Amino acid sequence: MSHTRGYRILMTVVLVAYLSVGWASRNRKTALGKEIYRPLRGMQTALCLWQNWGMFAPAPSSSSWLEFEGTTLAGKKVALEPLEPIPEAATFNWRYRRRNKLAMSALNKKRKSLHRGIAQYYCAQQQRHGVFLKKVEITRYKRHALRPGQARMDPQPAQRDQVIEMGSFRCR
Amino acid sequence: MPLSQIVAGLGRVWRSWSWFWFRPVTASGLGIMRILMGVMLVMTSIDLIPDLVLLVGPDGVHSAAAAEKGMRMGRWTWFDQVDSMQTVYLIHGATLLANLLFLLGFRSRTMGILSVLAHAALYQRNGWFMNGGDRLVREFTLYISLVPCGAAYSVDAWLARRKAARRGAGPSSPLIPILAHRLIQIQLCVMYLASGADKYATKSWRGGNALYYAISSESYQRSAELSAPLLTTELGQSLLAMATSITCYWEMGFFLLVLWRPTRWLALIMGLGIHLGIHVLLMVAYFSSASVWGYLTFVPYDWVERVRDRMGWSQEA
Repeated sequence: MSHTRGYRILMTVVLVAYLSVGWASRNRKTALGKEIYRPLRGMQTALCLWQNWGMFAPAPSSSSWLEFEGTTLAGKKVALEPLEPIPEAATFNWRYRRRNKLAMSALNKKRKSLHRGIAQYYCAQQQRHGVFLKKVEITRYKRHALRPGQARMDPQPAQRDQVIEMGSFRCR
Repeated sequence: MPLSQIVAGLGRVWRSWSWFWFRPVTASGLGIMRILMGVMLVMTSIDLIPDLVLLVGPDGVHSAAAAEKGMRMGRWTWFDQVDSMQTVYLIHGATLLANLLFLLGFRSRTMGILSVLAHAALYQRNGWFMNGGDRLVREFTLYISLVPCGAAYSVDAWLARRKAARRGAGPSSPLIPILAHRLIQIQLCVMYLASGADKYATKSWRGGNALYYAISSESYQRSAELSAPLLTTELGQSLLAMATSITCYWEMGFFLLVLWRPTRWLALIMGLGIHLGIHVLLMVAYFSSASVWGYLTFVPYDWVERVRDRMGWSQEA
């Protein structure tokens, strides 16, 4: 089938549509881009084939991590284990840490549904251990990267982390 | 203009189009590429097993309702219909099997398409744990599944040879359309151009500090000890500033460098070095390996035959 006329015609249709939607997705603010993108976008979204490649643009200027604290029905505070344990300084991370990527996605304060989902996960997890939580609070700690000149002078200065309250979520 | 001239003109356009997209090339190179992509897919599936409960389980961190709310257009996933972890593991086991069969080349195109669907289903259920490298793997797997990617170095090829031998036919070198090679080439050129342009628009890349800051981030860092000499010494920082500029300009110029034959190898060798650096210093999943995998489409299409001839290996082997 690979060299037949039918295959070539079918693939031509697929190619024209796929390349058009790829171009239109990056130019969907233009009139033509919008016209093309709207009817064909299902091709991209169904298989998650977006063409956004702004990797490290802009480059991150800080390191952040999340901390979780539960409050029991009796009002006692419970520190919950992080989504991804913080690695030791001497560790070489061979494996790509999916939990770390998930935690990074949750750093955005606007992603409330993800925060709610993480909180519910902790509620259920604690319940299995016999601890009944009323709510889970999520806090982000942000440490700005040192400027290059500063890093040369003192690579490990005493730094105060920025604390950002991400919200408090009730257990269902 | 007479109709005959229009028809002749259209015929020429169609022939040029066909030459560009469907010209036959030897199948061996893509056979090797299918195996390597299969390894990446299998490793992704195995890697996910310990975190399935948290990431895509019915009681995981991202409920199906929230996922549906976040991605309204073209959303589908078989994980929405799942309400037990046993079924999640069963589906994931079937995914791993499809990845393995794709690697081995049994019903290669079908297994390739199934692997893409399974990968997309995971993303549609919870895209928060995936990155650009995963997307590249999905795209490249789809591209090679559009052509007979199992025509060489596969169970499919072995079965076809056995069938031919039974009929008394001799061994033949299979040919496949160049379509997948072209799509991978275009994908890489578009990706680097878009990425380079986005980078150039930011202050840290133009100022030469971007790689310093990227490597400083503990969220991406592979090893603090390995990064320290680059981050805290003058020489290390100068090297990073140089690498920042090289990466940005190389990405923007990749398509020109790789199109022009005299600079093609330079573009590919530079890319290899940049991706090796990224892979060693930063955690970006399969982004570097998938990108470098794509470089195989820029080397001569009969590279496997050339290597085989040089090493004195017979085709049968």
